[in-house]
Amino acid sequence: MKPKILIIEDNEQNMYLLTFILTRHGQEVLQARDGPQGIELALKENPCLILLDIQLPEMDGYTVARELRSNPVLRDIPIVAVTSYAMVGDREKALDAGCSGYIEKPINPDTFMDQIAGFLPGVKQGE
Amino acid sequence: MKLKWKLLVLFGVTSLVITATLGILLYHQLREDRFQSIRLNTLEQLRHIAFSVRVFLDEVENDVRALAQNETVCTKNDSGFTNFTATDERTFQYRIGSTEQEIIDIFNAYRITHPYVNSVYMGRANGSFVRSHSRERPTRYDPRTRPWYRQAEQSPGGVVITEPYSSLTTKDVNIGVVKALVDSVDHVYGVVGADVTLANLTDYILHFRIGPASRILIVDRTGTVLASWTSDLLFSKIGDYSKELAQILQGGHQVEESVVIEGAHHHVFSREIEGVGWKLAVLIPVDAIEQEIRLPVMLTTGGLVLGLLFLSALGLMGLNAFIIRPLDHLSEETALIARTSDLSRQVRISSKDEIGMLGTSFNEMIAALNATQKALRETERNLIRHQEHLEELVKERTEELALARDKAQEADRLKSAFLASMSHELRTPLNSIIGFTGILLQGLAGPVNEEQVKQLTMVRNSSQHLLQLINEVLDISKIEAGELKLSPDWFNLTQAVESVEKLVRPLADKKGLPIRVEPVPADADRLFHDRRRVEQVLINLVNNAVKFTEQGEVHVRCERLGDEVVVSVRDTGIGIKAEDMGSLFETFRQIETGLTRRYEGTGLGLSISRRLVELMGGRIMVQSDGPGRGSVFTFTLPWKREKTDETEDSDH
Repeated sequence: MKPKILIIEDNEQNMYLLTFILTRHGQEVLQARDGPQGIELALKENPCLILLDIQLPEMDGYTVARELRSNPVLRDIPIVAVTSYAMVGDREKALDAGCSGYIEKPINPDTFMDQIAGFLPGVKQGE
Repeated sequence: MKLKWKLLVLFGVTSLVITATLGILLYHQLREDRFQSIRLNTLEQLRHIAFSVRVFLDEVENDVRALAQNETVCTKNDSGFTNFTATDERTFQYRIGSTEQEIIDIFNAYRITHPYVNSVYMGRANGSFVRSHSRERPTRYDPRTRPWYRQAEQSPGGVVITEPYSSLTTKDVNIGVVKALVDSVDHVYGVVGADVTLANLTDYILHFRIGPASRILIVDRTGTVLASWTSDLLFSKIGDYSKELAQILQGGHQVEESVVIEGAHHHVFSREIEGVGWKLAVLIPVDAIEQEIRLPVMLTTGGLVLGLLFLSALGLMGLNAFIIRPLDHLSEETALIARTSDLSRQVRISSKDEIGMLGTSFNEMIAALNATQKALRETERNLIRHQEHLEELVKERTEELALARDKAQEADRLKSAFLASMSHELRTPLNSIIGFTGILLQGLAGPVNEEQVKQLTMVRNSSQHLLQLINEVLDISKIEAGELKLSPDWFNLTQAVESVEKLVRPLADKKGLPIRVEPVPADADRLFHDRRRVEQVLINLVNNAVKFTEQGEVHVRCERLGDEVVVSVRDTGIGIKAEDMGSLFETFRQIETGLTRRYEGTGLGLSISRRLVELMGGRIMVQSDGPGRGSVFTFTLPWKREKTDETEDSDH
């Protein structure tokens, strides 16, 4: 079974954009609208990568990342923060919370796949 | 030392000086006076004595002359007179004739009427010898051989006084007064003489009181002492007693000299007795004169001392009563005021003299001082009040300032929060715009025609410009809020320059403009800085260079100068006017080129670059030879040596 990529994103347009790019590049996508749903889905589906928005309703992205990292089952799944937060320490805060990578919004469709390629199993960078 | 004692010493010294001076002056004056008085007296007495002696001798001579003219005495019939020229003492018998007896009677009468005459005698040319009294022993005797006879014989006209001789019976000095008997043809046929004792003369001159402790004497012309205050000197030569005195007595008619006799100073006055060549002399010891005046001097000086002491005591008492005690009193009261600092006190005024005035002046001074002090205290109080007021004012202002600062900080924070929030809210729609435009251009959503590609590209470029604007505004606000934090790490400048070149190359290629990058020297390659920010600055400069250059090239060069790495970006573009240089790095400045919006850009790039470089501890500057002649942008970064154990794998 082809591994899936979990997107946790509350903004409908962004969810659509990411899903569109990933599916067009042959990836299977799981969608979650908020943190708890995302964690539940991750436990259920065991995705190969999690793209995590930071600005989420109720539970913010940092908390979600920490929750995911605290779960032994999910501990090894790479998490890439995709966020429009650009203030001081945002990147560091995300990495501290357990994220493996950090992509600033707005994403560039031309380079987006390259940016996440490193976190995908069996896919080499630049492919 | 107290005033009292000072005055006492002053009085004492003054008294001493006065007494000593007066004493010495008085002593000398008195001595001189006394001496003069003694001298005058002595000279007068001497003159008197000399005159008396002369009178006496004249009298004796006259008497002897008279005797020689006595008819009985000068008889020429002398053959029967007693003759001792050939006598035998054992067989001799006096056979005195009437004439001879008569003469003897005359002689004796003469002796009686002249008590100073010891004996009267007469020698004759025939050798006979008649005397007023019998000789004790009838020894052989020839008057013609005797000096008195010879002397008289030689001066037949006058009376001769012989050498003194000692009387046999007494120790008295005797002189012979002799007169030759001369006949009508001037033939000496005998000599009459009388022996005169000088004992009376001595008595006579000694009864004169001449000066204190005076000694009087008479010497004859051979220096033999005839009369003296002491009988020891009689008949002795005066030279044996004192050679100096002898010398003086050989001097003139009247002599005054000082001489040392027997170790003591003496004044000597001498006078000649006329006719006989005798010298009358008075010796007055100097010591005696001084002794005499000592008492009056001592009495006077003693009196003076007593008087001065009395005056001093009186003066001191007066001073004590009128000056010292009032002064002490004043001094005590002023000291009390000084000690207690009690300026309300006043000195008591007990008199209306100068000291009273001093006290009054002091009181006035105290009053003035008191007033001054009061004024001073008042001023001090005012000052303190002002100071307190000032402190309150400062406190108030400080609080206000703190409030203002807090408000400003709060406003700043709000601004930053607003900007952050705004940028986030702006990005979210941009995310969609850029994303979907990209997807469409990639053809992921299906084929698009050429016109659509062109339009979609415009949308993408505009949105990217908008994104850049948002990013730069965000950067500026972060920097201004002091919230931009650097994350320095070791990196290779070569890699940073390469990635920048790669990023800008498409734009340059589009204009056919070469970007020449010189190899980074090894000593400038390793840097410890925030690579992202260094690249941001470099992108800005290179991007600007390409943007503003149509022909020529863009040249990037890195080197190390001392403790700095210097990166310069040179272009051959439009250049910069001198007046624009200063404002180049200010916010929202893009040089007016004359062509409206010909060059795209936010105008924030250089401003951000400057702030970033300065944050990293470097400087940024620009050089241009003027419009159309290109420009050089240079920035520096502090360089530090990398520790050798650092690895080179900072590439991320």
